[in-house]
Amino acid sequence: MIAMLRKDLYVTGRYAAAYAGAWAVISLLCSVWMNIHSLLDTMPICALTVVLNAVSADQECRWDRFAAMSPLRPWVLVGEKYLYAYGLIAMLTALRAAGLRLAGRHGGQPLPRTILVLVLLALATALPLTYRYGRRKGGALLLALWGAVAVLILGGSFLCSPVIDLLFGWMDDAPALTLEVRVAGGLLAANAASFWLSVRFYTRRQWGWYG
Amino acid sequence: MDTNAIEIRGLSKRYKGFSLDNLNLDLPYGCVLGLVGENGAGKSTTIRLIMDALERDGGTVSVLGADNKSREFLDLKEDIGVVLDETFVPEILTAKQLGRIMAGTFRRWDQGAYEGWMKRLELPWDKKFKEYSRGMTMKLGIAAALSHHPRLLLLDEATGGLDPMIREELLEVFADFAAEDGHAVLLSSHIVSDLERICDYIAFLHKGKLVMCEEKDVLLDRYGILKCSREQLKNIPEEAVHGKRVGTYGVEALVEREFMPRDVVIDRPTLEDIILYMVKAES
Repeated sequence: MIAMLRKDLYVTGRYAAAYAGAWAVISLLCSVWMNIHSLLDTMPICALTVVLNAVSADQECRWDRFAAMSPLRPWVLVGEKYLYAYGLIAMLTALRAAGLRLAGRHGGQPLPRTILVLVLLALATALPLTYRYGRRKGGALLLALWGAVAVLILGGSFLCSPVIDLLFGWMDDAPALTLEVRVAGGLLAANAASFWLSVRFYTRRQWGWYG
Repeated sequence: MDTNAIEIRGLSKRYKGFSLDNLNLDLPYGCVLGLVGENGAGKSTTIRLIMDALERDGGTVSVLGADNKSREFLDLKEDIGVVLDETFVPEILTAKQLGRIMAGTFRRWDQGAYEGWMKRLELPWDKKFKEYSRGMTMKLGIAAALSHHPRLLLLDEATGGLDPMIREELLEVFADFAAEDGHAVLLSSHIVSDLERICDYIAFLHKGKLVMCEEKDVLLDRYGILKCSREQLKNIPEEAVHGKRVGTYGVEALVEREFMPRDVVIDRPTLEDIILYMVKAES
């Protein structure tokens, strides 16, 4: 697994300047309506792009085809991507904190939990979709899926607030600790299910099920 | 130890528009088996099926004494060096970085051996793969495959794109490798002259079917090239003729010596002759 992490680090390292540049440009454009604090909060989201690009690079150079002939097990190859993603999220969260400290404000403020939850949920949906459909189609499906979820939640809250209350109302009344435990449990379950699906899709892709 | 490094029985795989049918093949230890066939004949598919990197529809494959569906085979992959006909490394990496990745992939990775191969094959350490030619990429694949001390080499078009000097050297390397105790090589190639030079056995795949699998010397002894007129060919037993080429001045035919009259002059064929006539006959 360390060998695979090393490979992904090499690939990411080569594109690190491009990633940082893209983030800086987007931040500059967004700075019209977002403050530096909010911009830095978006940093962990970049981990998703980096990991999906690493999967995409593997698929493009047929690394997977070689890996299938090596002693590496599919769960190791897939698990490495999840570990890499978690590591990147942690690193970018630390970078955000450093950035805030440099900016001289909110230094000690933790990353808003909503962002962390969203990033982990996005990861849990993005990787299986990418292993199943490839980077391009998987990415489009991911956007469509999250777009649909956003529309459902936003639309639902306008049109049918009792349903939203029923679904999420318990959050208002639940004690903070209970809520956090439930959210953490949900995220753990989502990522475990995602990993299981990814290994399944990865193996099937190797075996030529998807062309 | 079993006598065969690879044993394939009734192997089949169906794709849309292609099927590998009931393949039976043995690769004895100490031998080089050449897998020859046109593009899309099923050579790469066979190699992927041997490594269980592709789901099969039927049959069994035993590699180095283990069923390739068994748990044991996953560990045996350490003993198999594979060279694919395509780049498998992200193009922004270098050979030095690949060495570090392979060191974490294969338990028996030998960095010294890798450095030795890199030097012998005159490959640059710090050049990115995107700047490599096809020949360099193949050489790198071979260097990597040999550097974890495998017992079995599976080479998919590994000599393609190499200049004749390097090809010659590598063919010698493969032959020496196969001669070591408990080693074997399966080499798929379009370059039939390469196969003729080093292979002990030749398997000929055509449109997913195994047309023949034979010891090379037996094959070259069994067949011959007959040059004669159309009238003379009519006197040759039908079962002796395995393919013919009719020209303005006469006929050239691949014939089986066993069925030929003693007094007819037959030239020794090359492997390429045999394969070309057989393809023509199959078509």
